[in-house]
Amino acid sequence: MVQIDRRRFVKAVAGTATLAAAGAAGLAPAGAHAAWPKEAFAAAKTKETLEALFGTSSATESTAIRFTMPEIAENGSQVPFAIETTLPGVDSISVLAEENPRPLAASARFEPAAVPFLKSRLKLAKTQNLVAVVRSEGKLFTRTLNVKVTIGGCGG
Amino acid sequence: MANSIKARLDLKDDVVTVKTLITHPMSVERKDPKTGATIEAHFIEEVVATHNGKVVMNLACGQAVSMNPFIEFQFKGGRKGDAVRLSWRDNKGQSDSLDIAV
Repeated sequence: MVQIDRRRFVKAVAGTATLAAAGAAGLAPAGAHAAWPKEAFAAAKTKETLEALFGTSSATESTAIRFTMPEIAENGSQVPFAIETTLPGVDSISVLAEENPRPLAASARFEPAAVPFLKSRLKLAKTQNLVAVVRSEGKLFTRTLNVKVTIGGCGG
Repeated sequence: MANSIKARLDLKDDVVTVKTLITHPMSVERKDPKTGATIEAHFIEEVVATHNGKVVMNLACGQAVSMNPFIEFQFKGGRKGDAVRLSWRDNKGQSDSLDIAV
């Protein structure tokens, strides 16, 4: 499958891109119930996850991202996270747990009306690095935290 | 399936903060301890939020999102009385939605 940059594709067809085609490019547009990014959720490493989601894994660390998680998670099955950023033109916030069986935990797609802010809770298999990935004006920025997990939460 | 979504909307200036709690097992793929058979994962794949009919946020979830997921996000341009719809769809084709006013 050819990984095409979603923005170029959408521009090229003047906003009439089909959901299926946009889905093939990784992150589908935020409209309706778009294609679930299956490849990204199946990727086993951070690099492949980002390439499946965004067509690139090239990212810069940024302190303009505020990423909050507990230093120590007693219960690995409900570990809260909060991500917000002052970066401009944000259309996506994702969170990856680098040593979970599959790193990608969740990926939000924002329309311009959304504030670049997301909070939820994750299952973490073990102590590991968590990476917040923000796409701002088409470029990827990251912030990394290390979370210690006392009891792993992935079950299985 | 109705009533799987609880939500609270708070309006400050024109920013609406949405806090939602969805009842869902969000279970990972695992093996039956007695038979060794694989039990399929059952998890929400997508949560979509609309404001006055327009999508504002689309969250793609994987198996690592916790059981009974709590999600919080915000959008601008909200006014009292505006319509918000939250909906989810899971990997087994189940879904639910909730309509709530700001």
